[in-house]
Amino acid sequence: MIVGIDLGTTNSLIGAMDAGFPVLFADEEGNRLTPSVVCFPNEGDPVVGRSAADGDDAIRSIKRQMGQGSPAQANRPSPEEVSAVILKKLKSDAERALGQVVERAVITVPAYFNEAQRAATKRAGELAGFVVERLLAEPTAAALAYGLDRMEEKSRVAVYDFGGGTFDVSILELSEGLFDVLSTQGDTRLGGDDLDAALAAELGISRAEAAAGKKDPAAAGISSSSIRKACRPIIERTKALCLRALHDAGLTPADINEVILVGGVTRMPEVREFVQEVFGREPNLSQHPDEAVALGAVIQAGILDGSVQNVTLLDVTPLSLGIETFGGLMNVLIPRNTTIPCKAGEMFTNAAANQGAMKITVLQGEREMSADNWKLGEFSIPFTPAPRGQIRVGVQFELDANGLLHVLARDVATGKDMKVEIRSAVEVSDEAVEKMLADSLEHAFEDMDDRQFTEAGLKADEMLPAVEVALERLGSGVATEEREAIAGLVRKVNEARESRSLRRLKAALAELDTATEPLAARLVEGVMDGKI
Amino acid sequence: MGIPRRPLVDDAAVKEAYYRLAAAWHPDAERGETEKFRQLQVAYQTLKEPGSRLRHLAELEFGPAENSSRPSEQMDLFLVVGAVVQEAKAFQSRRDGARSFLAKAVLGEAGREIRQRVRGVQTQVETALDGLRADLNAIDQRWPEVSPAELQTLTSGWRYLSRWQSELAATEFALMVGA
Repeated sequence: MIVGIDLGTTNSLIGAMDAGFPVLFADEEGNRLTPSVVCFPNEGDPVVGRSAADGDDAIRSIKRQMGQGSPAQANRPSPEEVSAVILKKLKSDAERALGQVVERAVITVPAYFNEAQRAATKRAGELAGFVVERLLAEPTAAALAYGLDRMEEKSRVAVYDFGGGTFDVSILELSEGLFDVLSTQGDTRLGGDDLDAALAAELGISRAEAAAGKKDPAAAGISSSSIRKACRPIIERTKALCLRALHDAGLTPADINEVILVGGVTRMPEVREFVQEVFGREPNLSQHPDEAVALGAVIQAGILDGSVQNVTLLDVTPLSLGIETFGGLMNVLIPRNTTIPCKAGEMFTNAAANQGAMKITVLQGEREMSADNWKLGEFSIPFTPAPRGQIRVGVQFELDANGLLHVLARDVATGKDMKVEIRSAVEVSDEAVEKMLADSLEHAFEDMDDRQFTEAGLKADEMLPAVEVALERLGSGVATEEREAIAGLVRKVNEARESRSLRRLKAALAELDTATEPLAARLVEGVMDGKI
Repeated sequence: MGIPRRPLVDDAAVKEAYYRLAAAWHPDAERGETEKFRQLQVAYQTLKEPGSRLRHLAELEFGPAENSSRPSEQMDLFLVVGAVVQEAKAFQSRRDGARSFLAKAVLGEAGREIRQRVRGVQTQVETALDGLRADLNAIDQRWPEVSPAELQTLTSGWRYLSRWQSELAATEFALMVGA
C-alpha cells in the first residue's frame, strides 16, 4: 500500500486507492483538507492544521521556503522539519482511516520546483517516517485525476494550476491511458498569497482579511472592481508562462482540447475569465480545485503498487540541466521538457600535466550566464597523475523519475567507476548564513544612499530623452497646458539632480512618471493601432 | 520501433510506436526496463525531427558524415538570419533594461518594426525549407537509388534551416512576450 499526498502551500491532503478508486482521508474532525499551518508550543508536541492557525507564532506557507537550506536563526526549525510535521499528521490520519501502518508515499511538488526544492521535499517525507516512492508534479497529478475516467480518449489538455503559493501550467497529450507531458512552465513564487498581499495593500486591510474577502467579496463588503484592480496585474503574470508552455510544445491555443483548472485561486471569476482570454475557450471545471492534485498523487501511488493498471505517465524535467564552462557560461546537457528518467554524458580531460582534480559546477535554469541560474552543487573529478590530456573521465548526469540528480564518473582508461559526492549549494552552515546576512546588511547601510542616487540618476538619464521623443511623436496631440506641466517637471528633475538630494530627485521623478503616464498610454495605443 | 528505414517516415506511426513501447518499458510498468526506456527516448528524438533522422539515415547507409560545406544560397540566408537575431537581442536588452513605463512605450514602435523584420526572415527560411521538403520527397521516391552526396547535402541543409527556424521562432516569441 502506497499513499498519495498533496503537500500544499495552504492546505495538504492524503489518500489511497480503494477498490480501484482514489479516495481521500478525513481527519478526526472529519476534514479532508488540513491547513498547512504548524505551531511549535514551548512545551509539548507541535500542533498542525486548524488548531495551529490561531497561534501568534504559527508558521504558514512554509513550502515557499523549501530548498533554501537552514533558516537564518539557528533555533528555528528548517522548512523540511516544518513540512515533516505536517506530513506526520497526515500519516497518522491515513493510518487511523486504514487501520494499518503506512510507510510508502507519493508526494506532489510544483512542476517548476528545481532539484534542490524537490530534494528538500523528499527529505521532509523521510523525516516524517515515509519511504518517498515518487515526487510527482502537481499539474501532472491533476491531469491523471482528469484522465482516469477518460482512458479511451486521445486529446491535448492544458492544466492551469494556480495554488496558494505557486503557479504551474503544463501541456499534455492523452492517448489511451498514456499521459505525455509535452511542456511545463511555472513560477514557484506566484500564488494566492501574492493576491492576498496585493488586495491588502490596495484596501489597507490585513492579509487575513484580504484572504477572506477574496473568497466572499460581498460578505466582506469589497467591490469586485477593487479586487480586479489589485489582482489583475498578478493574474496577468501567468499569461507569458502559458504562452511559453504552448510555444515549447509547438502548439497554439487552438490545438488544445481542454483547459483544466486546479488550485484554490482558480475559484476566482477573474482568473476564469483570464484563462478564457488566453486560451480562447471556456475552461474545464470538472476537477475539484483543492482535491484534484491529491487524487492524482493517489493514482500515481496506485500505478506504483500495481493497483492501477494500463496507465503510463511520461513526465518531464521543467528546467534545463547543465554545467558551468569557461567564461561563466552554462553548457546545457539536458534541455528543459526532456522526458524523465533520462541521462546525458560529458567527457572531461586533464587540462594540465599532473592536474589532481577538476571542479564541476552543476546548474539548472534557462539563462545563458551560469550566475543567473540555480547552482545545484559542485563535485570534483579526481585525476590520476598523467601528462596533459591523457586522462579521460566520462561523467554521466542522470535525472531520475523524481527529477532528482545522480552523477556517475568513470575513468575511460581503467573503466573504474569513481564515487562522486555532490556538495549541495544550498546546505550552508548556520554560521555562514548568519555571516552572509550580517555582511549584506552592513554593506546595505553603507552604500544604500549612494546606490539609490546613482539608480535615480540613471532613471533620469532615461526619462528625459524619452519625454522629448514622446512629445515630438505625439505632436499636437498634447495640449499646451500638459506640455508646460511636463516641461516644469523636467526642470524640477534637473534641479533636484544638481542639488544632489536623493529625496528631491526621487520625488521629482515620481511626479514626472505620473504626469507622463497618459503619454505612454497614447504611444502604446498608437503602436497597436499602427498609427504612429 | 518497426519504422521502415527511409528518408520519409509516417510521423503518426512513429508516435504510435513510441507510445506503445514507452508504456511497456517505462520504469513504473510491471515489466519496465529503464535502460530500454532511455534508448527509446534517444530513438524517438532522432526519428521525429527530419534533420536528425536524415543524418542518422546517412550514417547508417554511407558511414560517418564528412564535414560538408553549406551551399552558398544558404550562406547568404545565414547572414540575414544572424543579423536580424542580433538586432532583436540588442533591442530586447534595451527594452528589458528600461526603468520607466514611458521609456518602454517610446521603444514600442521600434519593437513593432523589428518584429516585422523577424517575421520577414522567418518567411524566407520557411520558403527555403519548402524547397528542401520537395527534395526530400523526390529522394524518398527514388530511394534507395540515392547518392551519398545528395543525401548529405539535404541533411546538412535541413539541419541548418531548422535550427535557424527555431532560433527565429524563439526570437519572435521573446520580442512578443519578453524574456
